[in-house]
Amino acid sequence: MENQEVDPLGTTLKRAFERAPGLQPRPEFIAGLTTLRPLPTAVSRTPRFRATRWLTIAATFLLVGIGGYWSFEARLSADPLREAAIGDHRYCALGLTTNGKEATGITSLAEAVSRYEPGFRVLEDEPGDEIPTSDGPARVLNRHSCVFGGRRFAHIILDYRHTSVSLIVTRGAATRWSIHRIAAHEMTTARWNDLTVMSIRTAGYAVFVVGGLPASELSPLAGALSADLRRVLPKE
Amino acid sequence: MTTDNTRYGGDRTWATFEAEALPHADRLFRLAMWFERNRQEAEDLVQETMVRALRSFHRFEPGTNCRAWLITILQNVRRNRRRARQRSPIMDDAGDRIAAAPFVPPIPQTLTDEEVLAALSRMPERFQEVVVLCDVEDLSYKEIAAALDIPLGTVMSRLHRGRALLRSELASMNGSLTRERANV
Repeated sequence: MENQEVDPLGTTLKRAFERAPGLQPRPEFIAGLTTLRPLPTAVSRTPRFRATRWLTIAATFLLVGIGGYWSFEARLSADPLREAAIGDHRYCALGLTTNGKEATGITSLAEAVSRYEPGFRVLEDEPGDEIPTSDGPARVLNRHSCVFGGRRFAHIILDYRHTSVSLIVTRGAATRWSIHRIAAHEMTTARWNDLTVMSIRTAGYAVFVVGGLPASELSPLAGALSADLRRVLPKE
Repeated sequence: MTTDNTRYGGDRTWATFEAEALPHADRLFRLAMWFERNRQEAEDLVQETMVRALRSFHRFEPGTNCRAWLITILQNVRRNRRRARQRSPIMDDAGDRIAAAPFVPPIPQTLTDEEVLAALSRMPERFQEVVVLCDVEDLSYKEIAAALDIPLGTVMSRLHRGRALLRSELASMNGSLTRERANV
């Protein structure tokens, strides 16, 4: 290749292209391209080969269906938003700076509201500075906006049961499939190493509660926050 | 989406095509989606590109860059469609703006993917094309020239000016954010 200089602009652009939800193909479209495969034509008039042809088509549709469903499942289980939220908690709230990763673009919520995401406005006051839960109150330590993994977040750091817990909100890119899933499971819980992350999606935003507590201890706080945020966050 | 066996070369061709060309479908789609901004249009474009590629796969030279070859076909299909729609050429004043930019600012690390792509989308399309094909798709100048059907010198000048324009745009987006961060 005659290309030439290594340009950090290229790395930035490439990463943005690979992660932008709006640029990704539908898995069933990609799987459907395999049906471009040429089918036997010279012998297709005989019943035997006609049957083979129909079997091929049926098998292709079956494979496309299975492939598409598998891809959706794989995409959902990977959930890049959730991974970015976990990273934001580790590299912003917990202040880790290993592996060259760090939260950047740290700014006040007010600045983020005026420049990037008007929907964050409600988070300047909500949730309140003290959030009562059945296991005792959580207290807000800091509210700001930051960028991690190419996403802008509203980040509220709370002190809960003597540990730092993050409430992280970003504009959601929920697909119709994930919306379907949300209807069935309004709050999802996952463990990543020693962290628990509880995801709540509203119509327009993804909300994460991340902390180093077991799910049973984090869920009273997540439940209280979820009720507040569903009420106040813009619907789209 | 079925094709004629005798015209398109049979199972052996298909097996090679499946191994060489189909794995690039994802990236081809992202490229089509970026330029067309319409999912249906992008899918049609990629599908037509793949059909044409399969039909003329015997002309692909093994060992050369298959993705560059596919992108050339995709750009040809785009050009043909645009001609058919008789779109007017894109006019812009980017040259004047570039001439006024005296330095090369660094890439801000504080912007989101969406903000970076928004800045790119504000550039004139002729600059977007070369920047995306070079910096995202890693095509060589020669491959870009072939894909866009423009001279090599034009590729280099558009790339230089496109990158400068994008850097300038990113830096201006980042400016007030940096100042604010100092106060947090």
